[in-house]
Amino acid sequence: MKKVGKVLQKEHLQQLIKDCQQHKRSAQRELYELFADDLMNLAMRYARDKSMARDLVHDTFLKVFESIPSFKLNKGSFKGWMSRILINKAVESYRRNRRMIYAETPGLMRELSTENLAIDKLEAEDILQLLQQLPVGSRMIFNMYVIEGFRHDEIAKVMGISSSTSRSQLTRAKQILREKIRTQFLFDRRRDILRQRS
Amino acid sequence: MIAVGISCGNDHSFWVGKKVMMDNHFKQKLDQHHVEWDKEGLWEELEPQLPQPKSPWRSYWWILLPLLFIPTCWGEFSQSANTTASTEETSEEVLHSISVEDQDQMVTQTVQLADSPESRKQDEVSIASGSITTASSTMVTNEALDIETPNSIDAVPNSARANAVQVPTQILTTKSNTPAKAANIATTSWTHLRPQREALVVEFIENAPFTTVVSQNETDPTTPDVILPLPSLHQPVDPPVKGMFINAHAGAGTLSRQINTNPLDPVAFEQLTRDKDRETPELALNVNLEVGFRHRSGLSIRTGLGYQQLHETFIFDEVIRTDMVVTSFDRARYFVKPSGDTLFLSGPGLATEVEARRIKHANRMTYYQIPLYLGYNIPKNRFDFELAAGVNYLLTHQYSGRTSEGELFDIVNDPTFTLKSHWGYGMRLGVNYELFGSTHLYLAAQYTKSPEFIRGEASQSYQSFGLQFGVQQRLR
Repeated sequence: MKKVGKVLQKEHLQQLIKDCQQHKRSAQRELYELFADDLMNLAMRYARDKSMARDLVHDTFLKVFESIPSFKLNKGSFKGWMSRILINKAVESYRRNRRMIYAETPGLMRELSTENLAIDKLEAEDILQLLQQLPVGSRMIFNMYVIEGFRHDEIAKVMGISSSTSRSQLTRAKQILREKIRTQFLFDRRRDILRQRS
Repeated sequence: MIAVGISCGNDHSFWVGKKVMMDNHFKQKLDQHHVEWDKEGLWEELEPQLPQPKSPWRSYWWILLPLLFIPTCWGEFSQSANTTASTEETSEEVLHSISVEDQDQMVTQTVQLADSPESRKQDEVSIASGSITTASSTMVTNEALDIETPNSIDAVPNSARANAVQVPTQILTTKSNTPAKAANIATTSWTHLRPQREALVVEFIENAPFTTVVSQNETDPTTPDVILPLPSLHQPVDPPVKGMFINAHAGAGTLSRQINTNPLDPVAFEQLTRDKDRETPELALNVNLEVGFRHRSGLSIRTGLGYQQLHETFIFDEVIRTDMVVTSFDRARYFVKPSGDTLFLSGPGLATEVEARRIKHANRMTYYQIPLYLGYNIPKNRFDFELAAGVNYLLTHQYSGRTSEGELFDIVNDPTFTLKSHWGYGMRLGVNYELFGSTHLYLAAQYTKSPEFIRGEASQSYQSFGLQFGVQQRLR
């Protein structure tokens, strides 16, 4: 039954894509409804904040609807294709803005609760908070490698850097993540101690 | 997947002794995560910006443009030819009026030549119809011009014969280019035409600036009067030139890059697009040496050797310093952004300072190719207009430059690019201007599209619009 459902779903998606290729507005709307949330979730990993993620989703959908006429059905995953477009948009944006000095704004940071500091207890929101505090380049590489499963040579190609740079940036991203967790943990511990003393 | 063995110091009791699969945990959590956001709002913003259906004609504009151009050129040429013909008519009228005064025995006074480009093109002696007017009239009516060209005397329309003023006649056109030969042909033809008593034979000699008139001699109808030669008052139309020619030209033009892609490989597409932004096409230079043959119909074919150099500037930001600053808990920190604004950071946080310098590097792509162009030429006085289109076969190419900031040195022939096809194509719209003898000045607007290079599932090619200057030497 599940299989039949999947087949129907696939057929429906293919029909939707065909309609979108003819620029049918209703189909575009339906496709948007189907994938917007997924893309937003993905965008949140690459963006500094929700507003930037929204812009990313916006640019991605524009690109998707622009390029969809040349999308070949039965050749690869449509969702994967859209995800790749979003990632490329994120990289593009990163490259465009890389000359600016980028500083993290701690005001946006939600304090991690002590009980969540154990990595296996970190919730998605916490992870996103942590990721969003990474330098943009490192965040891109971390996301692409760890979450999306890109290889270093692929990352190098996408970002226009060498594979070794990609590796070192990943290592750096992980160091920063550990450092952040440690710093926050120390900060919370000291605060708790001070509270107990007072 | 990276297993992070965490053992980070004195106070890390929360993870001491644990081995946490950080990657796995992050991925799992993030995959399940759903963000609350304004989905409807984004759609409303997005909808007006969505692309409209493309016109199917859009892809074919470059074919349609020359197709529209040819009739325009032809129309211009025809109009010009008609103007010349009118001049001829006027000239002939004057000419023959004079001849009547000189020769009282002539039956006719004014002759309307049925001269047309078609009749001139005939290789053999041929008979065409025209009309003459009697002495009572000194004017040729337009109807006379409208008589279709018959192949024989019988085909002359009766309506024209019935006209008291206009009497159909036979007009002989030949390819003769010497007066003596023309006279000979005219006399011979006279015998054939003689039964038509009213006939008047007019001999037009192609490629010669004179006209021969043969008329009936009243005293001896068996012998025609031949008046030779009568200088034509009109400027002769430049006849089609046939033969070999050598064309050498060089020029410069604008350059743009076209990216074609399979959207299944957005990585390659985006990479090429990004390169498109960073590698700015600037200029195309080319030199061509060609040899060709031109048929008398105006069609021509040419080939030779072409050299083209494409100039690009590769722009990138070379990072010379990148520092990550960890702000302390109790001190504020100020950053001055490139915009001039000051960013204030208080409390714990991280900042990355990047210092970069903009590098511009000149990249070069060179092609050696064999052009093969088909053309059509329209001569007009000292000008010779030309429309040509064809292909360029790429013999060899070389790319040198920087394509990635990750590379420290120039690369030669980027191995990630492969040649998809050796064929490029081009179009030219040019004009030759006769300088002296068989040497012509050549000026042309040229469009070229280079062969395609593939990277992944995407490909790129270059387009150039430019001007060409050179000389054309016609070989006799």
